[in-house]
Amino acid sequence: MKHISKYIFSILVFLCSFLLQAQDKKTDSVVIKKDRFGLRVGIDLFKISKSFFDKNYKGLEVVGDYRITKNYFIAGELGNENKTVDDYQLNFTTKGTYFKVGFNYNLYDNWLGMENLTYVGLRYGVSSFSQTLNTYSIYNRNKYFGESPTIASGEKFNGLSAQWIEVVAGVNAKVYNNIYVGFSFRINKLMANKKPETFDNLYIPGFNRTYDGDFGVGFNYTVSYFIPLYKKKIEIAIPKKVAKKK
Amino acid sequence: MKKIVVLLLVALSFSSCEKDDICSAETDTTPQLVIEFFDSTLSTSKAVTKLSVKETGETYPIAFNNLLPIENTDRFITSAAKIKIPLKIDSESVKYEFKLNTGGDLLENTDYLEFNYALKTVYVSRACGFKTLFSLNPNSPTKTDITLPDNFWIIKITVIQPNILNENETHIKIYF
Repeated sequence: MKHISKYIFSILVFLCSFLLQAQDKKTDSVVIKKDRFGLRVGIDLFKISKSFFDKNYKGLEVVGDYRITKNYFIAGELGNENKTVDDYQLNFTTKGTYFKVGFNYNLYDNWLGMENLTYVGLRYGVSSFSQTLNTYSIYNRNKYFGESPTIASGEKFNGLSAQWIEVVAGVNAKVYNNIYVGFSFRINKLMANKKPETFDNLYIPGFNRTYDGDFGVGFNYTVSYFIPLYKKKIEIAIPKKVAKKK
Repeated sequence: MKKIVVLLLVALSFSSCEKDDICSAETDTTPQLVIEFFDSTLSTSKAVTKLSVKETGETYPIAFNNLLPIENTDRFITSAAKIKIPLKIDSESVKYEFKLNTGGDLLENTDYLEFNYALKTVYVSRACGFKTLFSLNPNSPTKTDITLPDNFWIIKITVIQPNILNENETHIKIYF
């Protein structure tokens, strides 16, 4: 099972790269509009709101992207999470900071004056965190001496870290002047995971919940502000075939 | 664009296949002590007759047939050649009374076995939490008789595996 999902993941990454190359067909071009270039910074509303309604969670994520060409954006996220997970057998707290960097590729063909994004992208994520095992239960199938009590531990595991790759798909829509609202979905694959010897990394800040394999999923809902830095003439492509017909 | 959405959905569906919310029955968790009975003269595996095993502080013996109701005495009696009994996970010793020929007034014979051991807590998984492993002390178990001696029915005890890590192997051989 694990191998199949690894395989699917590689295909996905592979196909994404194809899709990007496919756009580079030779074209004649006419300059008709100016595009704005700049820095967009925002905040993840999902993490902030969750911090209010979930007493076991405190999180903050700042997002940003910088446009480098017509469709490519350098993008990244910086965040901090403090999450307590209360499972049936375990209760633990994970605290840490993460940083993700990569790119977005805009697939959305904007009409004149529009500046929306529907994008796919890749990220490389790094997280540094600690875990505290609050309580745990011993799993004992034989109930002759009764149910196993919950044992208080408080053992802290410091200096943990993880690295992963994320495939991102999302939208970012301009709602008012330079204000954008967007969301994105992420599929994560762990590349490196420094676990404690006597416990496991069951939650990694930025990566989210870990499963038996090395996959994870993520989501964010952002509001951001675009800081325009300069304008650039963008060549609007017209395919050669059309030109020949004339 | 449609292709990407489809691929993302496929990848998502695969990642959600990794079920780890339920502690699977195949996972090794806290092991029980596996005891096998042997004929003292022939040294071959031999089934006990109407054995019941009770921890000295408990009201009921171990339920070997836990499908039977609690009023049925057969619930607590076994005539097998191999049994599994639990060790205490919150104490470093446990004392059991091994009663042979349970219910047969004259033949009934009780011997006590006290197990002394060290505990070790080991992480298993998210769903199973932790397990306890045991390591029997060198002179454990110790055999004693009831206050009114009726001769031991257990002749010899051999510890095969003092480290109780799983239930796949016999830890103790009892000759009678």
